[in-house]
Amino acid sequence: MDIANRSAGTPGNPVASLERNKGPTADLVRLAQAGDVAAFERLVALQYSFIFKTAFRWLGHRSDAEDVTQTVCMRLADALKSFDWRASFTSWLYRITLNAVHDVQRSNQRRQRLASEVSLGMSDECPPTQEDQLALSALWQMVQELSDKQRDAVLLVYGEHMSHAEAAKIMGCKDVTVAWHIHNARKALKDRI
Amino acid sequence: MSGEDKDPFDRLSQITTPEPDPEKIKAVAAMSANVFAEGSRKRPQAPKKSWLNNLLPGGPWLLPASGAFATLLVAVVAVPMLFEPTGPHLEAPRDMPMRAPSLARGEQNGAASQQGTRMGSMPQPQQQGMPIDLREDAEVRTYDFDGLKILSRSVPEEFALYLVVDDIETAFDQRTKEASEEMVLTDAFLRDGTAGGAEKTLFVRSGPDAGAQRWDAFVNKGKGFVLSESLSRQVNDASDRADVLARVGETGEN
Repeated sequence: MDIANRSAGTPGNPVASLERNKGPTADLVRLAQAGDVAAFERLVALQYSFIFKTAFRWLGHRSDAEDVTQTVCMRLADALKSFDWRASFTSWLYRITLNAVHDVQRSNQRRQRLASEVSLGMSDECPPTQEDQLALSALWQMVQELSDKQRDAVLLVYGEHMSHAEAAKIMGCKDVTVAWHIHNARKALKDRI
Repeated sequence: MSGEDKDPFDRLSQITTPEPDPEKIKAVAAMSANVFAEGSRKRPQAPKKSWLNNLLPGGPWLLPASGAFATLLVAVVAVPMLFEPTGPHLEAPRDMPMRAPSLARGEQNGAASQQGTRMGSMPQPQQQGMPIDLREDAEVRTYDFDGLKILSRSVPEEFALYLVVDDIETAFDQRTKEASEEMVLTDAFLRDGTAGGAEKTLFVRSGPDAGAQRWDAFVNKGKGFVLSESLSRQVNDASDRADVLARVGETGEN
């Protein structure tokens, strides 16, 4: 399955099955690394949705997610040549996206966003009541208060439906470290959730 | 939370994400492709063996040796000429185009106005909304406070600060501002962690050129400098570095 066609809300899509550095995305990466501008443009157009949806899940703001997506796409122009195929392209792109997300989150400390600005939506699978919506927003807001590592671990595993091993590849740590971050996140939020 | 949820975090999977704007996808793809094409053109080629290498079969050590010899030769020939009253004029002709500095230094506002005149670059009409570090219209200034190098980028609505170490910029602050405001830095310094702590604190005094300057504190907890609101509040209106240190020392907070 090509990551560009992935629905961010679809459960059960481990990274390894999303993309194994084969297929149209990998072909575009190879062409772009060889200097093919048209292939690069097509690659960015294909990946935009993936980057945007990931950024949105972390940031909860459309405009912030768009800013991050644009930053990542611009960075790709220079960074793509450093992609060495040791990781999957998806994991690599996740890492770049999360780095850009962290930059925005740091700068947003200055802006002091209000919780009310968060514009999260809920899955249509179960029609959300206003109470559900508020509970989800509150939970998301609490997750935002965690440390970067804890937040990444929680959102990769629970928001992106990854296994600990897949999340570990993206976070550049061991599986047990992911589990440890999630454990600590639970502990930090224990009395509130 | 409904009673069915065993793990509250499971609810995070219910967050849906909006679809991106197709027009933005096209625009960003085209914009990044331009940057990519520009980068491909600038990317250095594999170094070719120069004619000098061919002339010096003895090995690479001969190159620096030859360079030193050439420098010595120039010094022997040219230096005495400098002291001759009728010696050569070393000034560039007045009509010769001079290379403009790419960045303004410190408070040298004149050079900062060179932005947007990079040779060969096309005008970028859609600058608003782009990240500030990619904007061609950003006014860039570099500051050097006792060896601590800080770079600022300023556009009408935003102002960003970067720590520069070994020519690598790391963003540590970004804030909104009024279009009429001209933001400047007037002082900055680094303070090591107290009591053997590894955390460093960066203190920066900045503000509108004609307005009140205030101190902000940024703490490095291993992932770059991040604004410390509590510490900034303590030092906000300090008069100088000594006052900042006195206030920090009083509280003991790092």
